[in-house]
Amino acid sequence: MGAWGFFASNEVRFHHMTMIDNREGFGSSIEVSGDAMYAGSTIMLNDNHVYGETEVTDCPDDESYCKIIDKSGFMMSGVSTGGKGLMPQMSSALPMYKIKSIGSWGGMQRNYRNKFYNFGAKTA
Amino acid sequence: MHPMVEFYDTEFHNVDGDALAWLMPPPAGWANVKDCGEFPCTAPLNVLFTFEDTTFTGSKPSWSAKDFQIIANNTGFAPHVETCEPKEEMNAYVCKADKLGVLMFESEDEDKVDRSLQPIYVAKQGTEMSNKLNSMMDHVWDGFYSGQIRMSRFGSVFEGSRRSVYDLTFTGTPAKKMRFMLTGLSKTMGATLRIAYPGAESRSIVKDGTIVQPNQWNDDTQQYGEVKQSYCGENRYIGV
Repeated sequence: MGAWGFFASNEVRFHHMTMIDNREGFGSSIEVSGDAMYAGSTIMLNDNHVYGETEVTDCPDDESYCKIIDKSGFMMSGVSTGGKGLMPQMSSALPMYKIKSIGSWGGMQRNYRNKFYNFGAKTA
Repeated sequence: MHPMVEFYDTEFHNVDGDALAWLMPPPAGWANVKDCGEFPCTAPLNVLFTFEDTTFTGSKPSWSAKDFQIIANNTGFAPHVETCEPKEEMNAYVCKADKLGVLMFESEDEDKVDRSLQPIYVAKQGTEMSNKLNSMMDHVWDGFYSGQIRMSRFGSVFEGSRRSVYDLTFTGTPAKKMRFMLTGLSKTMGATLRIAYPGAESRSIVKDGTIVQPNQWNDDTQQYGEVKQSYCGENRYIGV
């Protein structure tokens, strides 16, 4: 998958990144719990470039390989009462985006000036 | 978080309409006593994606527009909003409705994680809308057993055009103390919420720490004055 975070913070910004050919997309969730969840928190993904199909196909004409997968550019992020460490040390902490915790009360996600390229209905 | 995601100045280059989004339905497997109870948790059905000042180039959806919204294939809500059209390949509806938002509410009672209020039905008067809500999933495990701890916190995708009146029907006894929040992109959106309480206790609306007094008593109708949506928190109690 593309870049993803799930850290304890009131705000996270992913910006000026380029994502190519991702299976799960990218995004970031944050952990906000207790009274802090009522004070507001923000997720921002700004000025990113996200590519689906590129010149490198999943099934080239020479049939040397063929691995077709569904591709996502963006996965919905969120604010949760639980989070994860910066560097997961156990496989049970994976995948990064999956959390066993309830959603927080507040939290906004505002994404500015992102560009998405070449996503077809079917993977090429 | 309240499940609303805002996109501004987004550019789509060669993005097919069927590929623009896929909104996952709540898995049927969530409907068990360890997770969500009798029916799956409803957060995936109440997401809202808003797009403003969007541009499309190359291959693009037939419905492409500068401003639009995407909501889930929630049969209790989406078909009942004017301008929302189903997109089967996205498992979603695409809308041109700037008064869409998300209504959050939760119990602040001591038993907020122990007692069920759900299912709760959010219905807009004058429509067939009936958005069935579940509370938060049980994520607590005590060894082999689930914790049976579910927060009574609810998010409902919402259409708040002026003069909207909604009935919130709790199938469990409503909480004594509740917190509400309505978010959306429009500064003029709003609605009147009606809750049928089983008891006649005194109730107050508190906004930013201050009680909002109910409307004046009307001697002609022998009840408090009608809510006219003149200001946030305007309220009255109707005895039955």
